[in-house]
Amino acid sequence: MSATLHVHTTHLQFTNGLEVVAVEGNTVGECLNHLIRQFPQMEKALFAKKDKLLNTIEIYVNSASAYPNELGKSIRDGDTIHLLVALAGG
Amino acid sequence: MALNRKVAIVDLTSGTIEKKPIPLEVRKTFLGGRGLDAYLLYKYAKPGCDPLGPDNVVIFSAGILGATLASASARTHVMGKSPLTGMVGSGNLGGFFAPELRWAGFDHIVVKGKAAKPVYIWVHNGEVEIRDAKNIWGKSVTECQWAVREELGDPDIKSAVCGPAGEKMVRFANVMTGIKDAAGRTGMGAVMGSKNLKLVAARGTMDIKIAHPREALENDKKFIDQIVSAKVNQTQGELGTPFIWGATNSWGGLRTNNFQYNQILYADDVEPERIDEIAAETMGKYHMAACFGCQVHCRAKYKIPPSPLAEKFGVVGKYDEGPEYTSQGAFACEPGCTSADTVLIGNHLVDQYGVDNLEIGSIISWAMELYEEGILTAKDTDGLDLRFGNDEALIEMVHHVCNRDTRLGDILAEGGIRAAEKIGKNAIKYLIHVKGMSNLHSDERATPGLALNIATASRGSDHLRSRPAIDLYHLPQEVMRKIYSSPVPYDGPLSSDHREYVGKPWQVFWHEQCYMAVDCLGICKYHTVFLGATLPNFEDWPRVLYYNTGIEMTPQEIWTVAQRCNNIERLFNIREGFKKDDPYKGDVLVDRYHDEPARRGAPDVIGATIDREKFKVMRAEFYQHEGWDENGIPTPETLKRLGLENLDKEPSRI
Repeated sequence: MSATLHVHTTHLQFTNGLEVVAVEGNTVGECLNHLIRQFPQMEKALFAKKDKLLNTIEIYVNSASAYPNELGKSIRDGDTIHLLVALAGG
Repeated sequence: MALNRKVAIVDLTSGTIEKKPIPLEVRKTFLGGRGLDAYLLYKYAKPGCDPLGPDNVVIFSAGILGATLASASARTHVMGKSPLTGMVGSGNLGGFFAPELRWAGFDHIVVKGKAAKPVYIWVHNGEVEIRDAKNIWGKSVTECQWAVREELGDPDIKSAVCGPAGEKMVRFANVMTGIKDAAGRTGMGAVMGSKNLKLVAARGTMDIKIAHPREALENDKKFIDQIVSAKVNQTQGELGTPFIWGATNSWGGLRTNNFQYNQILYADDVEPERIDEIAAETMGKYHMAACFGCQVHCRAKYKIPPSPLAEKFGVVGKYDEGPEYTSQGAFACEPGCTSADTVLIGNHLVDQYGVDNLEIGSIISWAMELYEEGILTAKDTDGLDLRFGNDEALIEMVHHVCNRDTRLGDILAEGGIRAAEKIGKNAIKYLIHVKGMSNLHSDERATPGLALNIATASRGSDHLRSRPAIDLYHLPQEVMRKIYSSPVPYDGPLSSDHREYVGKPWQVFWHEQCYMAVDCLGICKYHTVFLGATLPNFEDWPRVLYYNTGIEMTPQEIWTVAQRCNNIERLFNIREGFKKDDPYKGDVLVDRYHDEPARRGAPDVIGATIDREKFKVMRAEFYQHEGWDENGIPTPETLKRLGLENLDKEPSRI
């Protein structure tokens, strides 16, 4: 499956400035792995350890939160994935 | 009924106590909590009064949903004229006091005048008494709560107290309850101290009748599902508010060394996971606790581990709760310290003294920069080497400020603007504040929307009055449009990019109404879209309100109440000297935001400043959304629409 992934501004330094990246996979986890194969520095930016996203990373698929079990969430052709980063709250 | 709680007007000068009902019409106009407090402040505080004089008031209140079946309906609000800023004074705390106040029969306690000697107020089952505080005056925040329980013979009494810092009228002293629940910012504890009021104790067994209990419970189950299914709340349940510190520091969003930098280096020891580790080591696996009726349980319990610093200050093994994200700023990045020990000790001291962690951390960090600049010398500090990163000097200064027992400690206890006047030598140039209140330790130079928030918030630089915190998440446009187009229509621009100026005034305006509504209802901001886009919102509150209280209101009507109450706070500030461009009382940022680019962090942060002209355009647009004129004054049409056109002339509705 092919999806469009929107990169958070703070991660542009790891994607050569690309704000939107084409990714492939049947799940969010597979799509993120594809992203990391293209841009290896994204691994540290997203994952605390294998198969565990950082606490401050949230995934939206088609404008809805994919939490919980984000990585196992199914992806269909044409889906849109947004990477959110929780920063600087009160 | 949930609506039959009263207002008590307690005059400490004369010793008189009046109990007044809250008419239904007043409920529908202000709801309760902070909203009705704002009205009572406007009507009961004498215009132009000395905040530390008898003509000021200090008001303690519960929200209209307090102690009902509504989730997290635990918030207490405290209000008066601020001795720090001379404008709106306001603090909001969690814990268990507000529910107890309601069970004791009251929603608002308005305290005016000044007692001849230390007293406390005892509220119980419809009765209010003024009692001698000779046995509890001088005690720490936790000691005085236990002492009053012992004196009155009831271990379940809950109290809102001023600590030793409040007694000494440190102008940023808090009102506290429990171990660490703090009505912080703006010095409401100092107002208590100025009135010789040590605490308000509450205990009650008066039932609160729920209007539609079955529906309230069913609705609350959905509400709780919504709350606990948000990732931000699950994470807070594991790590508390510190969870956000590490990522924000990596990004470059933390004011460091009094805002000379925006990122602290080599600070792994202050990361949330390390603090969590210490809490687990000292309190066991299950070390998170919650306020009344809350499922998030965002506070850690800990004991201070042995360390040379803890031994020097005699606090090894002391129990406390937190630290919050704000203490990581106050005792780590702002003073340039990198030790968890320092954060945990500093957090414990501010909780025991009852003083604002943000303000004391900021003001000592400011003094550190003055010391390094040579504006303060070793003579001024009584030999204390007040350089950045000196953990021992930092903790030593916390004691001196709270006790006012050195010349510099006494000066800093007066707050930044007064201290700068006393120090002279252009010390004001280095003070990071809005309206005289120190900023949160976050750096808003890369986030114009957040900069507009702190510049225009009613109680001074503040992240809890209108901050569009989710602006940093980069939400999908569709999600943003859904949030920000309701309950009032908005089809103007919205940008997911935190670096943008466009669309931000509306977001700040929207969040201002959202947070006021939450503060009137008396529920926690973590149960709304403060940190999570999927959390409850205006659309969800009418059902909670109706099922619990029987009051029927639409989302739009709740929005209008919030706008009305925000405008009262604005009118109060105008009455007390607000001018749009006044560097001490205006809607402005200090020069560093505009003139000094951020030096560290991610590429989107390095080099960031707030453009002066674009900031003014944002501010003007924000005023337009508010219905204020070009000077930030509510127009006659706005006042009429909100029913405030006769606010000055009308007799108090309570």
